[in-house]
Amino acid sequence: MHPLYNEFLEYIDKEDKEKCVEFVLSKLDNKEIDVPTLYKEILEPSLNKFYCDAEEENLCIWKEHVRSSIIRTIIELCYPYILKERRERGIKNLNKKVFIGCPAEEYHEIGARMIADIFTLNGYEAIFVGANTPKEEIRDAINTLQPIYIGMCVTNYFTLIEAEKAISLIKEHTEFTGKIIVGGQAFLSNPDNYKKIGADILIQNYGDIEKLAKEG
Amino acid sequence: MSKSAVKIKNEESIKEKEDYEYIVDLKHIDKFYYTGVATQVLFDINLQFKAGSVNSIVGPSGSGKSTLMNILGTLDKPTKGEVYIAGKRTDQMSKNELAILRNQTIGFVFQFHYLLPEYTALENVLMPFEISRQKVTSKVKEKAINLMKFIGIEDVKDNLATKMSGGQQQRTAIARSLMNNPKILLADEPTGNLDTEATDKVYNLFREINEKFGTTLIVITHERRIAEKTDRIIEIRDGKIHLDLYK
Amino acid sequence: MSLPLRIALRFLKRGKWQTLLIILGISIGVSVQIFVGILLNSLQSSLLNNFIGNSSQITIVSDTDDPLIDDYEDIVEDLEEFDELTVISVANDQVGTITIGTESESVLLRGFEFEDADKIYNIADRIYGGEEPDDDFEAIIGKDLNDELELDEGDKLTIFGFITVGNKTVPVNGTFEIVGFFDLEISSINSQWVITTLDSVQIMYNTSDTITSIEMQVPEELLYEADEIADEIDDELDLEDDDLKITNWIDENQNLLNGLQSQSLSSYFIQSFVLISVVIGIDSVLAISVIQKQRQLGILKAMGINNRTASLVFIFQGLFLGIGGAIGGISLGIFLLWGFTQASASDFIIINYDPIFISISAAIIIISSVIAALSPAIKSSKLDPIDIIRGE
Ligand SMILES: Nc1ncnc2c1ncn2[C@@H]1O[C@H](COP(=O)(O)OP(=O)(O)OP(=O)(O)O)[C@@H](O)[C@H]1O
Ligand SMILES: [Mg+2]
Repeated sequence: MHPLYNEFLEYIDKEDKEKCVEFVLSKLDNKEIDVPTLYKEILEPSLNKFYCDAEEENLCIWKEHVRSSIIRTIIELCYPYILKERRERGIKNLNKKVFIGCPAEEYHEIGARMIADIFTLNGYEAIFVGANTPKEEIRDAINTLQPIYIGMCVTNYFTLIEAEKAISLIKEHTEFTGKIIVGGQAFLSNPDNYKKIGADILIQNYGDIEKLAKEG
Repeated sequence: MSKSAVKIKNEESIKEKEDYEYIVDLKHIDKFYYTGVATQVLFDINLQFKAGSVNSIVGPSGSGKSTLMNILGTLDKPTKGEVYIAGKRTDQMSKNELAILRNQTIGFVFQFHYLLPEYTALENVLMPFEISRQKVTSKVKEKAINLMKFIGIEDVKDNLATKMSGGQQQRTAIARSLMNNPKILLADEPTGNLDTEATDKVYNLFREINEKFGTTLIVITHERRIAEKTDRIIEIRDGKIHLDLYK
Repeated sequence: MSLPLRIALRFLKRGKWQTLLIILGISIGVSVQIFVGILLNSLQSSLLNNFIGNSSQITIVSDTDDPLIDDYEDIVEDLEEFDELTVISVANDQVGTITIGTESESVLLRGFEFEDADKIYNIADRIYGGEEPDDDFEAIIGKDLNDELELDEGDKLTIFGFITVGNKTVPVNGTFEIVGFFDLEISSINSQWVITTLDSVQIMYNTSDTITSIEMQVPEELLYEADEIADEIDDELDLEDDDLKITNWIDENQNLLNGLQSQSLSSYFIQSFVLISVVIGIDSVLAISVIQKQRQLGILKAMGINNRTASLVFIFQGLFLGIGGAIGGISLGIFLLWGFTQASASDFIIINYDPIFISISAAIIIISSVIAALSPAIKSSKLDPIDIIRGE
């Protein structure tokens, strides 16, 4: 567990947006933490904690929403740090577009946002289209953007079905020849599901994205 | 039933459990309908369900979900293929053998809930028990009433089936399907008429039954609320298993 | 109570009006059958009682020109050996004439052993004035005859007759004291018979101890075997050797019998048609019921009732409709018969509420109802639940 996680959790448990934001930004400024670590070891775990709680107890939907919104703000604020970090790491622009989105009926978008940022960090041009994207929209976006990768984040296990529909539509009705990458909570307990829905690659951590970038 | 009888029954069911790997096992099921021309609606379905699992079947309208469920429930016979329920091959059983199997092993909640209009809600719930030719004791009645209480229809228990709302009828059908503690509960759109609250209640009831009695649940649903909570989602498309996802 | 029985009762109970209507329909049919059957049976037995019951059913008479039978006592003794004969009565009948004013009218002078004859003709009970003839030359006359004669008890009536002596015809006469008047309800008897003692006739016609006929009756249940009994007597007694012949009511009343038989036949026809229509009624009602209830049957079968139970549901419905119809029909039929006897002034017909006939009718209607339920039951047994579950 990251040493900063518990402190962050303390603030976010109180729905204290100001403290959360100040805490994170100060740590980024101090270089006590970098963005991927922030995402991976602080934001993601605290987010997942709420999802689980929400599912089991059903009482804290509003809390989940408040926390998601705090985290969303933090993520927005991280964008300049991503660009800065990329520059500092000397990562050059790969000139490759990556499409990132969530299938229809998938309303959890934070994971996808973070993935998009990680792709950006690794030199890709990541285009995040948001949550709950109907498959026809995805198809049209692909046709227009011509990305090299399609990334789809699936949190809810039921929306795997929608993801599959989108993937087969893409395969049938676009020129897309790249790889389809999936990731998210829905694959946590049963990683094999990614093959079933027709995806090519399952991303389980950010390192996978780095590897991808290196492989070119 | 005396205590020792209960015990014997439990031992028996444990014994039975060892005889088969899957409570439901479909092998190479084809189904044709003959309406002038032969139309194939199921294509080489192979599907196994573990005892005690909670499963949902989803898919577009007309994809063959109900057809599959009817074959699963031994109401319909496959044109080709083998159906095993609790280790016994059923597609070659006689109608009367199947009737007993259904009464003892399978609880149904049909898409069109199908209550007996001549009977009250409570009598409908008790019917599977009566069909098993056991005596309806006050204890049995109490069990039926408790089931009805749990899904919130005890107020209408003495209403004739025709004198209830659609949702109440549906819940009555659910209570009825659970009356004989079936090993398998087959439900075809069991929450079609219900609001979200009632839908959650029904799902919770299913879960509870599953945990308490180890009942295998197979639910056809288009409700995301239900499907996303099951351990396995099977998507049927055009008569084929398109996706078979485990949580 | 078994499950199919309870389901059957529930189906009938929930379709209350339909059930009542069909029971009413069956009842009307059954009541017609009961009414027609009992009425005609009663009519026939009344007819027989009146015409055959109060007359000689087997008769021995002379087979020659000479009507007189001597040594008849031996024959009577032989006849007494026959258990089938309830009455043996000898009679000496002679034709005579009387004068009424200036007219002369013929009468039949009947000489009886009164006690025996009474068993056949039931005379004593039907003497409405005076008493039975007891002493020689006492006589009673019929109501119609006395309407003309206008005699009182104790008045004298002279009867003229002829006897043949060698080849000469000789007139005889006798004067009788009229001691009573009878009404045997048949006008030819009431206007012609003069009943007296056997001795009186023998004396008047100088026949010594002879008779002209031996009249007999058999028990009611053997009425239709009178011809066979007569044949048996004929065989046993070799009556031909004595120049006698034996007749019986069946051979002599062939027309009446034919009439009765065709009446029975038509009654059976009516009853059968009524029955057939009732059976068709039940069958079609239950056939419709199977269609009405096929949804329920499909559900029940899906939940595990077997085919036997499914068919028994309809057999029991047929049974209940039959029982209901039988009870209703018998009650209604008896009511109709009662109404009929109230409405008709005549007490000629005595309605015999024959319990055997009624039980048989009830049994037939119930069995027929069950049979009528068979084809719906088979349909119900064959019904495949999947057709219902899929049907919508
Ligand atoms: N009795 C029948 N005769 C002919 N075709 C039938 C019959 N029943 C169903 N079908 C066809 O079989 C296919 C599958 O039907 P089924 O009822 O199994 O679909 P479903 O997935 O349950 O649909 P829904 O979600 O609308 O209930 C459909 O195309 C339907 O038209
Ligand atoms: Mg269906």
